[in-house]
Amino acid sequence: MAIMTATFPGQTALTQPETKVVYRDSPEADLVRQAQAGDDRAFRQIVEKHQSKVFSIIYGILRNRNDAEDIAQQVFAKIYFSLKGFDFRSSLITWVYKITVNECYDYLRKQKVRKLVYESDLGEKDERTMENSPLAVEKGAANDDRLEKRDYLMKLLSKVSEEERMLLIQKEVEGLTVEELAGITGLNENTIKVKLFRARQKLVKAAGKLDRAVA
Amino acid sequence: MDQYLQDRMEAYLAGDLAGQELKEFEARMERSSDDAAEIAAMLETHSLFDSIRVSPEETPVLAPGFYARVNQLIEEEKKVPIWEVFLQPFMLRRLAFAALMWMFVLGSATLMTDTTTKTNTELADLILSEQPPANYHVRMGSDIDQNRAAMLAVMMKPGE
Repeated sequence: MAIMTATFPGQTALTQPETKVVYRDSPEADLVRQAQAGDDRAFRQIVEKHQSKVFSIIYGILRNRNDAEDIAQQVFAKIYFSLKGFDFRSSLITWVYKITVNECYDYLRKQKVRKLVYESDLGEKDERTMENSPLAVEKGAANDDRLEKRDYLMKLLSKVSEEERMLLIQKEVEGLTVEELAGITGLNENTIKVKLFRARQKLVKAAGKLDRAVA
Repeated sequence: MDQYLQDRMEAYLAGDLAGQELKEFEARMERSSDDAAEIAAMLETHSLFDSIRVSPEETPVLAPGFYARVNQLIEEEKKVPIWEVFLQPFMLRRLAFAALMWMFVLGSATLMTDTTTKTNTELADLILSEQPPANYHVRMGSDIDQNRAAMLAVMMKPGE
């Protein structure tokens, strides 16, 4: 059923009612409940259903196959241990995405610390030699720009709420449409558009602040 | 920002706007320099997502046996010694809080059941009555102050 609402000039006049999806009643919820009850086969089905998506998101961020696979395993281990606490307030996939992105943040943070420790252990001369080696120069040139952009984006994404971060990643990285996002979240399409717009505004604002801080 | 622009922002960024709608969008955008600047900035942040976006062809295929490896990791984590749980940061905070609470409870209990005052009173009475306790070998005289000093010296002697 569609309802008419008061609108601003130019705004779409017809909006769908804000119906919340009841995740507790979805077919996937049965699978989750079985896994929560300790059914290993149900957990296996969950893993097999989402492993490719999870791996693809992690690989997109890390661009390292081995690390991505390790993190993907950790994500599912974390899901296994916290599945009992999953309360169906969001869809399983949104919850899985949250854990995945948080694990990536965690990994990048640890990697940064490791890099700092490693660099502090190297002498200045060793460091220069490594930076100027042909392999490092070639590899660095190819990856530096992308890594720099990635780090910048991850910083910006850390400035928006978890919900906004998930919406942006699902829209931009997973390529979900506004309609699909509405289906997953149970919100209507206009609400999704507004949320995405606000999230993008926050990203722009955060970028401005970050650039000013660097300058 | 113009509501028309807001409503079509996702389609514009995704390159899905075409024909008259795209023309209208661009015309409205040019009418406001603030809107144009904001949209340009949004396009810039939108392009940053390229750095983490991979096409299905680019993504390597997971090696077979992924679930088995996940399962192995779970089993390993299940074996983590119980004491390691206490080293987790959140656990340390809880332990510190619990220790403080225990100290508070024990301190309160000690104060409430303290018998020192009573003992001190008994000792003072003994000293004042010039009767040294049987387990203290103190030579007592007629001077009460001297007796008290001697008594305290004996009481504070290490090993007594």
